[in-house]
Amino acid sequence: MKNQIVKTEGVLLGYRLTRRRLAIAVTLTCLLYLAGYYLAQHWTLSNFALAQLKFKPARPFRIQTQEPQSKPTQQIALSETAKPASSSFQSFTPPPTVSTPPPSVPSQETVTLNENPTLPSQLPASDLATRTVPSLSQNITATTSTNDSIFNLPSTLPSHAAEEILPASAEPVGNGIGAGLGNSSGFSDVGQLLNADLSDQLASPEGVVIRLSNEVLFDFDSYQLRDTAIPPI
Amino acid sequence: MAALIEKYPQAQISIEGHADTFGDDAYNQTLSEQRAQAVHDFLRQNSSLATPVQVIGYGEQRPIANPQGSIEEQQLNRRVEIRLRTVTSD
Repeated sequence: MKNQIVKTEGVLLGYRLTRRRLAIAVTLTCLLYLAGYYLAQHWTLSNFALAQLKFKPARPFRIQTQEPQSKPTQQIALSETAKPASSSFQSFTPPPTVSTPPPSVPSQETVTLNENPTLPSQLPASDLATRTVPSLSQNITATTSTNDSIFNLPSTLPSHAAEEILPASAEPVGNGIGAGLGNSSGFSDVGQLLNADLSDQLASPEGVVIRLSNEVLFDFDSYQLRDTAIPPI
Repeated sequence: MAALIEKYPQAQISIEGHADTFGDDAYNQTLSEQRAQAVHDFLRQNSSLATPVQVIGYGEQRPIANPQGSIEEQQLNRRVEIRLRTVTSD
């Protein structure tokens, strides 16, 4: 019966075991277990010890708070340097030190006053901007103005030109006598011409010129007389 | 204007049209001639204009204001001039 059970188990395991082989296998298993346990307890590496696996406690980390200091700088520097080395708090930043001494005023220095102050010959640009440009002499303007024309005035005028009043374009322009008898826009006033005696002017070579504006007489780009053209004509 | 012409019936009359420098030269020339002619026609119809009248269009050839100026500055260039002149018989 026992042999039949063993055979059945051996068939299930894929081996045909006998009682003797089964006893040998159990014995070897126990020996391997004991050998492993012994090595685990007594086998050590040459450069290794379990003491090295001890965990170090967490390092305390403190942040230096920035608090308003009412003390002078010099006292702070002294207090920082006077802190004992065995203190658990260590600042990561070097303690502030005063490198430059405060300015000192010599007590025996003499100051001389300049009783006749003079301006420098060359002023800075910011000062020159507020000053007027000196007028050029007439000789200089005569050489620079090469193109004398009524419509091309020289860029630099003589010094006395600033006092002259240039004729405005609204003033009557032209050689006609009638042109002078006009309104402020430079055109003729027919009513004024009617009241004036033009006998002498008619005999002149230029005659009497009656100047009328196209804006009064015509529309834009047109040669048809406007209604406003009837009164002056 | 018509009254002025009637006041001096012996005067010779010339009507001159002028334009500014804006636009084409030929166009301004034609426009100035047409405008001078329009003034002549009006005076001929509305006055006792008996003497021959010379109608001339100068275009932009005779500016009296700055020809490089703006439109406002060239207002005097856009004009019609009526010239009256008596002829002396020497």
